[in-house]
Amino acid sequence: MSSALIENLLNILPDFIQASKETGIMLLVGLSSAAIFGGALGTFLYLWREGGLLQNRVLYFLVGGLVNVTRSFPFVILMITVIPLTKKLAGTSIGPLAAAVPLSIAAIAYFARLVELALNEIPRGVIEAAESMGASVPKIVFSVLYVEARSPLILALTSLTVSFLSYTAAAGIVGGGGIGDLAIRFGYYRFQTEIMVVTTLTLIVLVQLIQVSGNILAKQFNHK
Amino acid sequence: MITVTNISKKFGKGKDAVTALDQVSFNVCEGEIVALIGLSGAGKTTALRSLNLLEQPDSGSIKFNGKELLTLGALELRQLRTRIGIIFQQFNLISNRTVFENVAFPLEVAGYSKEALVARVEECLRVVGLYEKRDVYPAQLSGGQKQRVAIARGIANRPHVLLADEPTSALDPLTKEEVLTCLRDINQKLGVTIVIATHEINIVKRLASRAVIFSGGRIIEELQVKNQKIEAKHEFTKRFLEVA
Ligand SMILES: Nc1ncnc2c1ncn2[C@@H]1O[C@H](COP(=O)(O)OP(=O)(O)OP(=O)(O)O)[C@@H](O)[C@H]1O
Ligand SMILES: [Mg+2]
Repeated sequence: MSSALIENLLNILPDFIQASKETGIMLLVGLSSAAIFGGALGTFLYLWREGGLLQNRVLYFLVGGLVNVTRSFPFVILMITVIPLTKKLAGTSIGPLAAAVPLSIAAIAYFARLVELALNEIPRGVIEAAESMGASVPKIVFSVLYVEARSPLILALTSLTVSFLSYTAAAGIVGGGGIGDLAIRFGYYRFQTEIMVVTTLTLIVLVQLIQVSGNILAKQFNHK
Repeated sequence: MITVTNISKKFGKGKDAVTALDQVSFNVCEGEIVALIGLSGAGKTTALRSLNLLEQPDSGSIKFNGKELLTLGALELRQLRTRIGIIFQQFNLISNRTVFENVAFPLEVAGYSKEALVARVEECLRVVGLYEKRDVYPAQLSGGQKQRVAIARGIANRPHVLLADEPTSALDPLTKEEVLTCLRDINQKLGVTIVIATHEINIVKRLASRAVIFSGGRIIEELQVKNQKIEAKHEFTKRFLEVA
């Protein structure tokens, strides 16, 4: 490596650390809201659907429609559309916390469908057995559904995290910051190709790590 | 103990409707093993599942110790279900719960304390001879062992009656035997009443004291099983017993 290259990289080290923190904030906020709200939403969609434990055509249609609409928005447009909400929730429309708002909304909608799909894979008979033992719906949700679907749920969260990482890069363009933003600012606009390469490599390694740990966890928890 | 009077059940609507049960009446007495038998599609499963309202009949009456089931509210229905055990052809165990945790499930639902739960689960696992397997997952068990776990789960909350839908139909002849023995034991030693839906006439002869013969959603006749033999009166039943 030439000394110029090393110097270049050392120069942006503070920026790089800052960017990593920003990405971390976006991931943390987005993923936790997805896990909590998206998880709950997906569970209700599953319960409300035709033949579900709490079958409700109206709610399934309305909430399912809302989820679909959210999911069909191109992310950049969603980001702009929700700016008023972002200002309310984050107090500002720039920075990682602000970017976390549209990111969370997209992630909630995406994860809700993943959860619904994962729950759909549980054999009907297992749920019926729990029902026939007099279990309440919450008992079935927490002791049967989440237990039987936990590996697919972990994998769903993993794939959400991976796609999320590229969303955070897009969020960077409109002032969210983060590693993706760093790559574009230095690597693309200032023609410092090596920085582009290093940040991209970092993202690739990160994605690999997330996927591998997700796979391992999912396997660990599966007894099928 | 259970009195079923004139229950009917249709699946689907209009021209495509299938009459699964047509004015069906029978009863189940304390301590007996009664078999619901008939050809495929005769309505055995539907009749059995009506007993804990997994299938809701369109009309008729089902009385359980004098209490009408068809008008129960959601909460009462759940309470009733804790007193009726059921096992299925496909076992339907929770695959990510251990054998112990599977048997514990109905006790968690019934609100057992920790110590009472552990004691009862261990007792039930001993009854079905699977105490050593308490910490393994269902995937590591044979079909017969899975069904025995299901039986332990079915009787854990001391139900008045155990419903069994084709409990041995997914099993090979040897493991069938092991499950039949287990069912007979819980009937004779624990006094659990058993209602079993099956198309296997051998099971009926070996296990049941009474057989209710179904065909096309109706009951053709009821027969006593004596010394593992059934004396059919009806033409249909005679033919059925020959082919089955
Ligand atoms: N959920 C359902 N939806 C539509 N039709 C059904 C349903 N369940 C049962 N049926 C129909 O009702 C009739 C009786 O079915 P049932 O399962 O009670 O028969 P069975 O005697 O248990 O048969 P098998 O020996 O095949 O298990 C059949 O014609 C069946 O196709
Ligand atoms: Mg059947």
